[in-house]
Amino acid sequence: MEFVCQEGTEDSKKLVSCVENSCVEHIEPNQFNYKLKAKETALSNLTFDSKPENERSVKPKPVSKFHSKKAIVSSNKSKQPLSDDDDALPNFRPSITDLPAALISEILNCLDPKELGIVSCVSESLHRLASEHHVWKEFYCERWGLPIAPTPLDSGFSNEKSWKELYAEREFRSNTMYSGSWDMTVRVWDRFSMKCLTVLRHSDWVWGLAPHDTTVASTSGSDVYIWDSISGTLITIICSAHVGNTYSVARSHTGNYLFTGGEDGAIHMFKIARHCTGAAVSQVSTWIPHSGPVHSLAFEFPWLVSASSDGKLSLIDVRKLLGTCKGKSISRTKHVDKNGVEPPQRMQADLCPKKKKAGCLPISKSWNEAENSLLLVASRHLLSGV
Amino acid sequence: MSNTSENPNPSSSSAKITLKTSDNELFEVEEAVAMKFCTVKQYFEDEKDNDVAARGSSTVIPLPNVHSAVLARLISYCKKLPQSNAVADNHEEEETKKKERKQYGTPGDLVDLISAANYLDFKEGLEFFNQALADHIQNKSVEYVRKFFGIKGDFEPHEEEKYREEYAWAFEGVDED
Repeated sequence: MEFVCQEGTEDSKKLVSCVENSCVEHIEPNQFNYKLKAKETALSNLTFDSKPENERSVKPKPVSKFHSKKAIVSSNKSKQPLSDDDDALPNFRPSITDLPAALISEILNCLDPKELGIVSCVSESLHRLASEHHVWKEFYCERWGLPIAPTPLDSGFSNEKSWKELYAEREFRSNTMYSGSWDMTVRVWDRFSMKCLTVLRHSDWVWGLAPHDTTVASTSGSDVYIWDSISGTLITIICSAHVGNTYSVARSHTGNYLFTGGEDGAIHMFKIARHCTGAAVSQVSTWIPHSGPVHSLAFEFPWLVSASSDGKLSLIDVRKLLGTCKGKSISRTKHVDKNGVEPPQRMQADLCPKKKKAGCLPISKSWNEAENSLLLVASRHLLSGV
Repeated sequence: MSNTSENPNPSSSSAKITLKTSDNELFEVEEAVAMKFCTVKQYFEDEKDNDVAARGSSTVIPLPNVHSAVLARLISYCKKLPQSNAVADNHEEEETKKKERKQYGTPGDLVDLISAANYLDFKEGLEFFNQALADHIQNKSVEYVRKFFGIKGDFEPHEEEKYREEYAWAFEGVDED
């Protein structure tokens, strides 16, 4: 039996433009019963172009059944003009679901997370294969790295989360955007709908914000707020963190540490311990590396980098503090600027040695890391919306 | 017929191996090509060990799971292999590879090719056709994928709703059907 394929000869891009063309039914031996939306059938071969063009808005009745002998041209729309060796195809046309699971899994391996998500919604068997697929772990790690906190996967909890779930959750979170403004609010936005989900009201201008997980930290006037961004409730507030305005805020990956930079040139480090309804805040450390207001902070373990209007950056290694901080232990490091005028792009290296606990590193010892860290900072600035 | 165009280049002097497909077509292919199929290779080597025939020339290797049309395409793919399997190192090359993958037609064809490549243990081909199939559903909607593969959605309505909600983030910006 021969059924040389004279169906669509376009590639899929062209096909999009053909969507307006009318439906053409085409008899083809095919064992599948198609349950198609007529809209989807609206792809046709240009050779049938004598049919009048329909408007896209004309959407015929949604569901119609085509049995056995009727298939729709568009179901083969990606068929290319086939070479002459191709006219004797076997009559039995297997579907992808007829393949062994391992093979389907291999095919799914070629997909992106989004496509895998879509395939998961196609049918029962594909859902099972796609949602349990090991590539979710790869996707997760590629995008966000391995989870820092021990995941439920490692620690044998009874209600384990699959990598797919972890991925989907994280993906969902990354669709939330935050904006802070002099109108004294932080607004939470949904990237899909471009709508404002929540308005978080403050009592002063909002200077900085740092989202983490489902919380967002914001600075307003001299205070620091930590909000639950889903419910819009205030988790905790640190009053008068700085003398004058608190301009900048940064958080660690885990969300357990928060850094603030203020008009007073100081940088504070706080430990945030979440519990069910609120959070306990304790101050871990303070540095005063700048003579001017600290406008920007960025943290990438183990480096905290600050930028100030005194024209300097400072680089602080917080490794020692992260391990052993127990409550309040303030240490101070005063900046001594021996060189007088330094070019602004140079980093400040001269930090009081007797306060080693603060962990400020002389730059000369770790220039490479510092450079890396600053690159990371730069990329964080670009990405700080998400 | 399909396989006439696929018969190996007559000028070639290398040894030939005859493959017999499920519909009893005989394919005479160059040894180098046939050896890409590990299943064939294995069979061929076993035969040689048994010394049934002096040299593969008269051996016919039966491939009861492979249809002639499919084998013809696999062989033609095999012959193009050297350039098509080069690692794409730039965007342009990736595009050409994509186009090349597109030539392999409908999901049915690809599924045939995949299962044949799997049976023949033809690794490069398997990878290639898997990717070709994956290309087809890139950025497509659930409805498109169902139609494309001829799969019926067999979820309970509430299940489907749940899954669609769960994967709502994946539905952003898919192509029109």
